[in-house]
Amino acid sequence: MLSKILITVAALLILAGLIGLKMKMVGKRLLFVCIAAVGMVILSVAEMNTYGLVGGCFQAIYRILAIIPGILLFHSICKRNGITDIEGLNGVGRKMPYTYVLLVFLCMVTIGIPITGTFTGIIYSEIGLLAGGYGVFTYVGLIGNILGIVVPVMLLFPMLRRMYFPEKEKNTDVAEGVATVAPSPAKSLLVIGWLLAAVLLVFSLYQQPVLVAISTVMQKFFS
Amino acid sequence: MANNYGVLLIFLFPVLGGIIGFFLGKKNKGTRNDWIDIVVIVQLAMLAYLAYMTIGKGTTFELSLGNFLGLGLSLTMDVVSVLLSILVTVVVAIVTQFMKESMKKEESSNRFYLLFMCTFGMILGACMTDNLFNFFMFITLALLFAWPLIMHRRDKLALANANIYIGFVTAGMVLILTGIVILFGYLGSVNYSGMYSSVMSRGGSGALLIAGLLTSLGFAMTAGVFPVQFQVTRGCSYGLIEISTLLSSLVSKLGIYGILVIAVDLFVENKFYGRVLLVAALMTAVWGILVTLTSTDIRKILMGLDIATNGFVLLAVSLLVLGGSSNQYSVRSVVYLLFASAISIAVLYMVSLELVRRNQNYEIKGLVASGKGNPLLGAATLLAGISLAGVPGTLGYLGYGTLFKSISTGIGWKWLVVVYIILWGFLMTAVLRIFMKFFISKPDEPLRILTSEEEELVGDNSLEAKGKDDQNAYRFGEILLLLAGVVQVVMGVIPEWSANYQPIITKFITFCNLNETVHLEVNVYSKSVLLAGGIAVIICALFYTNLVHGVLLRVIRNRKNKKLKAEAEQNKENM
Repeated sequence: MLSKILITVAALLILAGLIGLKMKMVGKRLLFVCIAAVGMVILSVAEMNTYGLVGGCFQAIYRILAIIPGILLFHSICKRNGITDIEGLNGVGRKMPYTYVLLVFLCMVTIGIPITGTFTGIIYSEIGLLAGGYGVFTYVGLIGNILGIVVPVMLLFPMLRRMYFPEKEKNTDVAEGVATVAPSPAKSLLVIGWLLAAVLLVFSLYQQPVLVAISTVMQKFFS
Repeated sequence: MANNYGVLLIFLFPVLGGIIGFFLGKKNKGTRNDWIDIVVIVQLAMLAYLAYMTIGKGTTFELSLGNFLGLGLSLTMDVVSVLLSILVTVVVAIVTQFMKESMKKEESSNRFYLLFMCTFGMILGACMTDNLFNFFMFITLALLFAWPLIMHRRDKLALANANIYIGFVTAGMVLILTGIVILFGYLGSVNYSGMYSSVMSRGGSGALLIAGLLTSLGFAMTAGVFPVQFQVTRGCSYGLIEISTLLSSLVSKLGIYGILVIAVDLFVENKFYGRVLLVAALMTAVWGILVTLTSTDIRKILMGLDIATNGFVLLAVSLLVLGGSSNQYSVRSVVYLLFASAISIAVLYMVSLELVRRNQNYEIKGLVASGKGNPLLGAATLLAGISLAGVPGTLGYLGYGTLFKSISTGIGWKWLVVVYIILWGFLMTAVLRIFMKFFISKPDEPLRILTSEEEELVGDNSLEAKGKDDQNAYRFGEILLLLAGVVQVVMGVIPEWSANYQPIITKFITFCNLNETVHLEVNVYSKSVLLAGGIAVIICALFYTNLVHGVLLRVIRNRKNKKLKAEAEQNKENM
């Protein structure tokens, strides 16, 4: 019963992420990305089987490691450039291309595109859901899982798109290739961001140690 | 077999080459272009070696990394994957040659090259894998890398359509992912051969049908199948021609390849699935032809042509499901049509790129007669066109011929024979229209009385197509296009030593889980096929004169005008 209630709650949380589409403020959008991500983790854990728990742990680890530096970077960029809404992000990425690449990578891990650990977590979660046999709630969970991939895409992709591909007419200085400088995020933040990105990349390509660590912790908890 | 880590190099080399090219291009764009040439040539050389080893010596190279990327990475280089990889590399080689000229004035060309090479690497990865999960992974990454390429110029239309493109990419990939997970849960494996043997031992079920349909729907989005065609239509119609070529002639074919895998591994002789595919194929072909005949933007015209040919390939796949294990004609038509359409469409795109580059115009009106005075380009277009249209003596004809045989002898539905010939005729018309517009037609003469402002515009020659601008012609690229056409003709003329070469075609038959021991004498130059082709040509001539040039319409209009004139005169006399 608890599983079914948690699956429903998680699906509702993910669904609530769609409200973020209405938000024009960068911070609020990111908040709804977090809500959807929390929903995804709860959905996996709610399955209460090995696949679900492993999937939940995978998602929690990778999403947390990606989303926190991501939010901090967005916050720093917005604060230093006086940006509040997503319209203000237009062309910012072109002025700091390497920071933009870092942000794109962190967003991809948050979304869970293939090859990332988040993606592995989503797969485990779906397998756990199908193996669990929750009746109608299996479909609720499946729809939740699908939305859990779609919602972060819908929230993050438009921001990333605006940052590097603003409409040409609206941003003539960028279009003409004039070098413009914008204050970048703090160096310490960038260093931490790049380090975390490197860790995420390595442990996305080779996820075995993460799986072993999760299994060991789970054995200790459930033994 | 032991793991061969060299296989990784096949798809990683273009990605690494792209990264190195990016930094080289920051210093000198010429050096970058030369480097990309080297990468493509080395890639072709590696694939040629693999082709020698797999086809000549019967060796298979495998790599299975169970712990890599969380869920494992499995790659196999056998005859099928090597030939598909060669096709991809040849198309990319052609495109990169033309990119040297077309990207000269383009802003941020380094970034374009980098992402282009990454997309190329991912497409190669998709060709090399023997696992549905890895296939999904590579195709997703290829589509994601293509997204910024579509938005490259950042004009309003491109950005708006890129948004729709990414929406459909997400939807398609989520559907495929859900399907794959259900398949994995039910079958315990998503390896191509593993899926087939599992289905054979367990039999079908509702879950399997749902999973297969979900996955097919996702792949249908990638292939531009009607009515979920928007990923292809929006992705290929508003961006640069270079990326449209990659999406049309390679990525959309990967969608068809994905459907083929699902069809032959999960739905052997499943009538329901076969009929669904058949209906989708016919609608796709009709829709593609309609788009080609009614569009005025050259990118849309070629995109429509790609979708129409995808419809024909899908028709062959549906017949493969409906016809059962003895239907070897369908396998052949799938293979021939995939190869012929991929190469021919790439050639047509490159011809268009060359003409657009010279005329700075995407509208077909602005490109009328723009290829006149350029015999190399004309010959290349002609050869690609006749292969795409299925004229005897070409690879395309082998595809359409075997497809006709598959319908008439394998399935035996007369209504489908009629529909097929009509569609074939329409497709010929669509291809003929492009060739005529580029090389034969004369620019429209102003027929009506013009205002003084309009007369000034007509007098201004800046809008006229520049056909004889030979100074800007890119000869090496044109020779490559011509070679691509010659290869298709050679394959059509001596199929037994090329397209129908037994050691090669047997592997495709085995890939499709058909009985390879049943040797089939394929005679596509039989009376029935030639007759069908002849009828299609007649239909094409009728359609071309009446639909494209509106001869029939003009006759009707003239008669009506005469009648109206006579009535008006009579009224005048009466008054």
